[in-house]
Amino acid sequence: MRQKSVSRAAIVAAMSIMLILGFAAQRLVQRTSTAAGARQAMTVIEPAQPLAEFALRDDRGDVFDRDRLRGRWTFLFFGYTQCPDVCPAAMMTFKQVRAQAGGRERNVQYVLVSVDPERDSGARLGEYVRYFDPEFIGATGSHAELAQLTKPMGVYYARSGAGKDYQVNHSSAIFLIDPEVRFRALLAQPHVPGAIAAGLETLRKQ
Amino acid sequence: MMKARAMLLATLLVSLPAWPASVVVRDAWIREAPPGATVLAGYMVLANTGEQTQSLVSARAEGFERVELHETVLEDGRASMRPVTALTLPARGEVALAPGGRHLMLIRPRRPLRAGAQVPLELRFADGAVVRVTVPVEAARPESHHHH
Repeated sequence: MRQKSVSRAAIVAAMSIMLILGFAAQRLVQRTSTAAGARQAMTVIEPAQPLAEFALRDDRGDVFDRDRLRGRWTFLFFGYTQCPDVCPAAMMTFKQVRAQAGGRERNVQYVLVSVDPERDSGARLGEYVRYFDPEFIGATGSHAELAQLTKPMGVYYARSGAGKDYQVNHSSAIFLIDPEVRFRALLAQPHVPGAIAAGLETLRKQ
Repeated sequence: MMKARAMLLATLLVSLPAWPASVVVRDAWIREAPPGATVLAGYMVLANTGEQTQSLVSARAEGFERVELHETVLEDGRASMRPVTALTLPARGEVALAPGGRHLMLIRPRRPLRAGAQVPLELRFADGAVVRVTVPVEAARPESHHHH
């Protein structure tokens, strides 16, 4: 009887370890680099994680959901337009990745998801993203709608500071979604545009 | 006597505009804001050429409601901004305000500023010293310069 409970405990422990290992194995940190050797951390999600249903609105007021991701590679960045440092830098990264990896003509799209829907109207988001590139897309929704997309991928955001000039802290990585609408890779800071483009090419070939 | 006083006055007049000589600003630029943005970021290198520690306590920019000093912290995959109350410049040391790190937040421009605009900026230090510089607005600098 005593032995039985010990072996049961051992099985539970072994299963827990397998679960932990299994979870860890889902995120393979790889390195991708430019021909010149600039390196970028790329965490490939293995197996790719299908995205659950979600529904946001894009900067033109159209529904932005899973269907808008199907059949193309999508780079997502979660930020907001009143963010003076990190978000413009991320949009510049998108611009440089687009120059190398291509845009609509190669079925690649670049999306800024605003996690500040109170201040970021569709019109403001549209003006913002198109300042960087006419093809870039802005999307947002209520916090409940945003959560459908952010929670499963582990995207973090939280308001910080008081008054009308509050800030929003947010995930700093770029999230890559594959044409089958699966979370495929996470690109952490610091961002190296050439290496991100090279990483996409590697994933395209798989 | 008169000559000596005149010389003293002349010396004062010459030295006053240079005071304080100890902090030198270089490579200053303001990131051009996309339409609708109410906050712009300012970057620069502050070099303290003196033997005393200097502390930047406030800043003012012409055409903006106010200026704050903030630090972007990139940690555990998260970007957050923290206000910086005072920026210490060690004696004979430099501090860089750069993308992804400490930066000036220029809040609420009175009118949109495009690349090419010049913004007069005033930096105030704890010892009362004031440094005035004119900072250009630029579309973007290559992001690679702060990555190694």
